[in-house]
Amino acid sequence: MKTAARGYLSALCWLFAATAWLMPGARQAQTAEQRILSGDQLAHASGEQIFQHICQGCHMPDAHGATGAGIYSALAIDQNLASAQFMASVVLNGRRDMPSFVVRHDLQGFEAMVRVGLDDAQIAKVVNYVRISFGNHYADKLSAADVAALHAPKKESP
Amino acid sequence: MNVGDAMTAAIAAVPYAASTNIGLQFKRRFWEQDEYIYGGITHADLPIFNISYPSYGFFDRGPGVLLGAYNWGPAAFQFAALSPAERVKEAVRLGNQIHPQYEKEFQNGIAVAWHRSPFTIGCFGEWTEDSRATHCDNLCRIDGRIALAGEHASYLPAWQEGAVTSALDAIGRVHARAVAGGAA
Repeated sequence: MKTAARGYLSALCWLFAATAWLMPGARQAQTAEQRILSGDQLAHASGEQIFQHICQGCHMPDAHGATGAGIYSALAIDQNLASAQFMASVVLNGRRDMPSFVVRHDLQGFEAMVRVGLDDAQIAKVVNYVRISFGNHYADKLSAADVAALHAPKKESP
Repeated sequence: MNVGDAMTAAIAAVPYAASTNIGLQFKRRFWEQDEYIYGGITHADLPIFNISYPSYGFFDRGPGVLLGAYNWGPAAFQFAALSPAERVKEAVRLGNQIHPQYEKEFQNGIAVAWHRSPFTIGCFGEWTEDSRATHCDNLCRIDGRIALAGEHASYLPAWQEGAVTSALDAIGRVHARAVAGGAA
């Protein structure tokens, strides 16, 4: 009887898990166990989540940066962030040690499938988050359209 | 660094690409015993990107080690943002979707996020066609007493072969200057 009850309970758990998976919005839910986001989940992540899942890898969880063979700049109490466009263009195009996080359309095959960049809306979200966090108080907001205007102009074919 | 504007700009123009490598040790070589996989790579549309199977020690009855993640781009930064123990845990969780034996057979693991390696702060020099056209010669040209060499100063970034070809190129430049009495 006990075993049967346990079997029933476990079947119920599976059913619940399967249902949760299918519920809209549930796929974005991040459990305590899961720390790496899929491209889909990243697309729906907040600015804070994007910082915690990507940016803090170098800029550190407290945004104080780090020093090794080079320097990861601090983003905490950072006067360079006074310009939202400057910060967004660094994320978009890269600068010095920092690579570009732009969505790459020039990739093919396996690379094109796995390599997930940050789109304009995601860049706007994370820029807006950092500019009002870690001792920064820049209240003006950047929109996805603002970031779109910062892309390098497309080259004309010769 | 005490170099001219051209080399300074070239150094600034080459960011370091992110990558994570994660080694996972399992109690037995289930990929051989259960799946008949002997060496090779599984490409996955998961943030781990690749699982690489050892091409040595075939048929060994003891534990085996896989390369459980080899990724780059923003996925690598996601792993860099975690503690080493969490990186291993996530590689097991994600890889388990391909090999359900993972969770039962897992013993131990180690993760290297190259952007968190203090002596390199990154995995390899990342060039574009534009940055190479503008800056590659300036990066490799001897500036005063400074000559740069390594995979980042080669046409095969990320590879040891690139580092070797760059070393040969730098030696050639130093030699040309020496035989010209320092004039070249």
